[in-house]
Amino acid sequence: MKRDMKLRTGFTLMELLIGMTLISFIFLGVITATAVLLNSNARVKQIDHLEQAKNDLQLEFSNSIRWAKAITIVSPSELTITNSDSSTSAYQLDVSTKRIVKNGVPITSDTVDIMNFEINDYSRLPAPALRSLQLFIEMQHHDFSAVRQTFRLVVSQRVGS
Amino acid sequence: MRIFTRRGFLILEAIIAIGILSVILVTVLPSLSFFVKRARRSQNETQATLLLQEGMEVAYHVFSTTSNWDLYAIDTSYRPVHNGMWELVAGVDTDLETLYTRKIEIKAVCRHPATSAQPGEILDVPDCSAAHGLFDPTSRSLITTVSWDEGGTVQTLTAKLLVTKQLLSL
Repeated sequence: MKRDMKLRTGFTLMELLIGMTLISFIFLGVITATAVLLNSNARVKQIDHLEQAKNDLQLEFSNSIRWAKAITIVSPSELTITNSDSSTSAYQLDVSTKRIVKNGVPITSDTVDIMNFEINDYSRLPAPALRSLQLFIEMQHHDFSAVRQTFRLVVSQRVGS
Repeated sequence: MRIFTRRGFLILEAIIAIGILSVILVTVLPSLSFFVKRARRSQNETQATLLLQEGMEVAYHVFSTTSNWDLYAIDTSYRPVHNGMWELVAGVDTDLETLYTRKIEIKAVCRHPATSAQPGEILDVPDCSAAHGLFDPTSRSLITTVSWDEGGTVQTLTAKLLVTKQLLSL
């Protein structure tokens, strides 16, 4: 009787097994939930990088093309703009770094790869009349090629620039 | 044999544990879907902004390179098309990027007459002649509207651009 009492102070093998199974189920659930959370957080950050690049390019090209004095399309992926203060801005895609450069200086971040940069001139009158350009830009995240964006940006030159 | 009285959990402990767990679940799960929804919404909005800008820029380009504005009827909706160069054709764009609807409306501009106290100022009223205003044949208001369905509610972005022939020297 005394021996029996002592035995009942611990757990039986069955209790331990059930306990371990339950704990492993809980762990599995928590780890999966954490992984999903971290993954979606990382994905949101990657998408944010592309959105940021998109906004930057939209602002940059909208301003420079709208208020340009003169616009020259050097090649389908190279654009030279004479600004209202007579300075020039030469935009092109640096294929080795996959970044858009302005006068040789990158204007897109190294977390974003620009895969394609194409300039279409849909102006109604021949140059030097007002220009209307459509820029086609394809980008993807530098480390996660599944995160990608394609967009078209249309900007028309304004009068009196 | 008092050993058996403390075996297992008290019902109170179990209830507290379940309560804490459910509070955590209730707070974490909706915020997760809220973030996903917000991210999708801001992405849709960025896309809509680009379509809005496209409509506005094309309308400006067409009106700044054409002297015969009568080609584009007042109070009519147009959509931009390109066949090597931009053109506006009557109609409304639907299913742009499978989601967006876009139209460019051409509106006449009503101004105070030369004899009034504020000659030439824009008169923003529904009925121009009733307010003793005059339609300015050398001005147009170009209104671009982009709308899309965001989980059952319709979102709309609008941009208004005023073009005048005097400024354009057409």
